[in-house]
Amino acid sequence: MKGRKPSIKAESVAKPSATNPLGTFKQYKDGTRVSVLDKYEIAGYIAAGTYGRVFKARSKDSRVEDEYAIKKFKSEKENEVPQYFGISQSACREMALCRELHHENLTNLTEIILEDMSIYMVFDYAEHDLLQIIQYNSYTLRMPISEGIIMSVLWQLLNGVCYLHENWVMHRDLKPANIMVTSGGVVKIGDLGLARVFYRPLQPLFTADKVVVTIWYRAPELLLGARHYTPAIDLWAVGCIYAELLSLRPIFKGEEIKMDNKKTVPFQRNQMQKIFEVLGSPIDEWPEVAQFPEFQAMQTLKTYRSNLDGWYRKAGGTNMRGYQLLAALLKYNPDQRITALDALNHRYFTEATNLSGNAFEGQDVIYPSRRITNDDTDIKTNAPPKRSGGSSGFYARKRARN
Amino acid sequence: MAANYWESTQRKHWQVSSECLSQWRNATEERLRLSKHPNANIDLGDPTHIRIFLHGLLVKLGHRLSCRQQILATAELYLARFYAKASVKETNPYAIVTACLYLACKIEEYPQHIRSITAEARALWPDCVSSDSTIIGQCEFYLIEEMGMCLIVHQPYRSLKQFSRSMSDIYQGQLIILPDEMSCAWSVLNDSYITDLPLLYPPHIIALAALFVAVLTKAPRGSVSDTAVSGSRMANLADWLAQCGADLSAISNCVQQLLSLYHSWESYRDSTCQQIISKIINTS
Repeated sequence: MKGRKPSIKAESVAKPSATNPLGTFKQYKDGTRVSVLDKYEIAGYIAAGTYGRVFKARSKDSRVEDEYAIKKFKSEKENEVPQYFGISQSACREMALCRELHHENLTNLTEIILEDMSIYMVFDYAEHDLLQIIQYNSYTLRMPISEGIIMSVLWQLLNGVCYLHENWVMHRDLKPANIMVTSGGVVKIGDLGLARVFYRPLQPLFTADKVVVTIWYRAPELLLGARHYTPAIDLWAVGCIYAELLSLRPIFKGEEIKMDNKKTVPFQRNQMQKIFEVLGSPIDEWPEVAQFPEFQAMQTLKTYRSNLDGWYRKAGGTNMRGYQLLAALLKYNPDQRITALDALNHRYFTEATNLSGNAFEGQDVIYPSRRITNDDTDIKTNAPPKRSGGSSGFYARKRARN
Repeated sequence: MAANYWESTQRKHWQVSSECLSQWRNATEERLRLSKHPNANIDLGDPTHIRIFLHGLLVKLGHRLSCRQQILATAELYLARFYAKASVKETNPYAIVTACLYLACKIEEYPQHIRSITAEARALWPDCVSSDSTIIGQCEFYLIEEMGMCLIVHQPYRSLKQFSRSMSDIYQGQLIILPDEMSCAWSVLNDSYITDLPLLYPPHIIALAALFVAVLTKAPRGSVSDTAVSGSRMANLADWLAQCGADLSAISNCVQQLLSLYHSWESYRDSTCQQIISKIINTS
């Protein structure tokens, strides 16, 4: 009978197999890995979204004073027992892109830790974001954001977008909640979970992702069902963000029609209508619009006269160059919409005397720090995120109702 | 990044010296020996043969999933990176190959469901791949970790096309790469993933080497006049390479490694490698 019963020792150095393909390599790696909690101390919980949860953290190394935002992806399925279901496309994209991209105006990735079937992305912490700044001005200060801040934020945002586009990357989810601002006034574009490389795609962009960009910031070509689209969609979103910084509310605040099944994408009628109300009908400036899949549906919308200049004045805008840049960003025709590089060289910026790389330079207003809660600081649990308002920004939280 | 090899993680983290590669491999062998791994003393034979075998597995699965070459090449590089740090002796290469392809499909924006890719792999290798797709998911995790989360890769195919265009511009048609040579160079690039070249050299150097090998092997043989023509083509190519300031010693090193791959391929037997891998994997 000797040797019949496999000893524990023998099992621990078993040959690799179909059910244990990593064999002893797995044990070796598990034994050498540094845990996220060995390196970081969780200071509090920031937010949850569709992707998972974000925590504020500090290094356990007392010589390092930096603060971090650790994003923990939730597993593909809402399951109590975590398993390897395959890493989501979104997490793959964000890991891959964050590892390659480095720019002053992008959120800096410190490291990624893969541990216990979870992905932890460690980013530099940013104290503010544009949604929070807009809301603070809107509800607490009850006054517009100062022009110096708007100009600096817009320039830095365009600078980051320009870098992305130069590197053949589209962001595809630019919105105030995804644009961070550090306490030093530096803009950091975050959340690359929908971003992708657009150099020579193997299949039409629409095939891979049926819906991109949060609805209020979604470009008209996307609303009209474009199968192919260009980085110009990001510039539309920048235009919408710029408008929101001016008026403190989304310029095109349409109501989203929820997708009832995953196959067909509904025409977002109300969103398109909101755009029409400000910009008029696109037919004259954009003849190719007739070729888009949703053109017939668009034709049934009520038409208006273009009135962006009226909107700009009503929002309190006085700078002629600022208006021209807004109009160039919100061009219907994506081929005529201004590029990020041209926008950076727009006279709105080049003629300005007080353009600063620190959005808060010379400003009196002090924005409050990000709200951190302590009711959920256990980063290791796989508990599904608490009910959130459905917002999916990087530090998403419920958007206050106007 | 996508536009810039020089700033990429491939250049910064995954282009290494041959000394570094041997060091990694020796360390792995040492680890297996010290842990008294049951496969530590298995003789893999010619290491190139095992690489050809793995390449064959990947191509086979890739074709079943109708993957384009760009996806295969990305998966090949993942495989090369993984096995630069781990040993074939301690893992099940069928599962690793499947995980590489699964991940490459996502990164190249041609995602496949993990269950369908597992099912295809199982259809090809029922004894070696489990029907449980979470096992492939686990391999994916360890693969990504081992690569230091560097997932975007630069391939030599783009450089090859650029060189061919720029040559015809410079020589006004005199030294246009012939279609035959172009497709031969393309195949050489496919094969380059079997070697260590993608871990050692930037993609454009490998593309130039492939071009060189193509012109060399596609040269017409026979009559004296043909030889003279091909000789002058080679001379032109060498002249052009020198003019563009490419690292000639690196290119010649690549050419040698490619030629030695083809030499080694002549004695390759698929069944021999399959037997060796079967010995490694516990298929009971």
